[in-house]
Amino acid sequence: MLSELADDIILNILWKIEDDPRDWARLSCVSTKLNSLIHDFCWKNKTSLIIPSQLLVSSSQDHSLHKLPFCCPGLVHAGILFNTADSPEENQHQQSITSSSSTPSCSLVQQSNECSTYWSLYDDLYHDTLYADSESNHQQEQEESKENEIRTGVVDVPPESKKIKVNGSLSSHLATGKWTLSREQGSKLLARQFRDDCLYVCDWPGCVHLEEKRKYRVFRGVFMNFKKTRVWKTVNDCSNRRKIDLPCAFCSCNHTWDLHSAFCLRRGFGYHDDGEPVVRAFVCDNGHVSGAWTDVPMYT
Amino acid sequence: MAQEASSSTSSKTISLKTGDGEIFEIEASAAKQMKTVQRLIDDLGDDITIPLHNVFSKELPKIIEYYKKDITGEITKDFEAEFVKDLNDDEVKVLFLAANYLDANKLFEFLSQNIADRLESKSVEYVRKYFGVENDFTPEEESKLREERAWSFRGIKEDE
Repeated sequence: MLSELADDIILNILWKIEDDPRDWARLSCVSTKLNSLIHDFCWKNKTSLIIPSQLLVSSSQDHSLHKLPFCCPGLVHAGILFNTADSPEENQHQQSITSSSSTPSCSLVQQSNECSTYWSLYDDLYHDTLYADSESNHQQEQEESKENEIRTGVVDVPPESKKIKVNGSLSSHLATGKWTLSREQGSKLLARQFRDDCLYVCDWPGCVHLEEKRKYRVFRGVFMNFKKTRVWKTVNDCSNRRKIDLPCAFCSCNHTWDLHSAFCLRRGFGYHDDGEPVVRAFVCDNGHVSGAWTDVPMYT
Repeated sequence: MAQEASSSTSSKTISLKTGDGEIFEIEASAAKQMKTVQRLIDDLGDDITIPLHNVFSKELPKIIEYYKKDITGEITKDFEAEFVKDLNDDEVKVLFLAANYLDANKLFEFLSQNIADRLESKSVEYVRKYFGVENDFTPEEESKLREERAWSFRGIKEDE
């Protein structure tokens, strides 16, 4: 049996499965042995080549850090689908948009660093790929929680929506574009008074999502020593209005902070005609950042 | 078997006996590439039929075929592709284990790569079955792992 093989023989095979980071992530679910081999050797080695050493040294080497270079938070966790309507009328408006746009927006792009999407608002706001049998319990839990009341700021899923297979552009998925992080990218995001905070963000353009309305360059990143940053102090001092029911894509935090409305982002990015901000970003208590750039409007 | 005068082994063949009792001939220079075989030759002499308890008549001919090509310098990408083309995942596994037992490094590396290629995009359940491992996570541990890794389960094709 292969299970009796020495660790170095198993590792020899594992090293050769490194092209697609999703393989290691899934293989670590096979058994505790594979999980520790992949964590202790495979991910550690790979991230040491990709993540700046300053950040590596100051972070705990858990799966959150390992997946950050490779995992796009998707439109959900970048807050693009997030409706922050406070009033019931606005919620209703959102619902009617949901149920009336039944025509799918189909934009298949051939370029290698674009994320191809087939997206119907009506059908599949939260539904992702079909799960294998052993994962169907997990899927069932998700279904059950969606039948609960609408929480403020969450777009509800019509119960009759059918499960269809999408490539995960809505929730977190393998990122297209570069898998490296840089402080330079992070510094382009933050307002000047936060220039001493170290934010590492994936290199430009992030994971590009072509949607019906506009193009989103979804990015992910992390603050070094987040609890010691000025950004943390700022969001923490704000009232809870800045804290929203948007879970982090990288860890188990259920809430994130809206950096745009906390005035942590660089001034002057502005808004589109429909009220969408040109840049949005959200950070969790552990310093993981998800967000998206859009193209600046040509005229105000 | 007639005994040959000793200094050159280039035309000498070695007899190998599989775990299910069949005997195969291999050139001495090819046998040299399999360190386990070479060690047995060193211990037992090259006139004796070398017993290979953990290798069987189904896979040994394939291994011999590989090393026949190796000693004449004819192993190419095309040959290797052809070599594994008609093998299913289990047959590759058996060959791989045999190459490991025989300490036949070149074949072992090649088959490691082939197994890696075959396991790409496969499901967790498939890999467990392939490696013959049990799921030894608690339900809570497994659920947490899968949730953290939900991103990696998207966009994967189904097992064939």
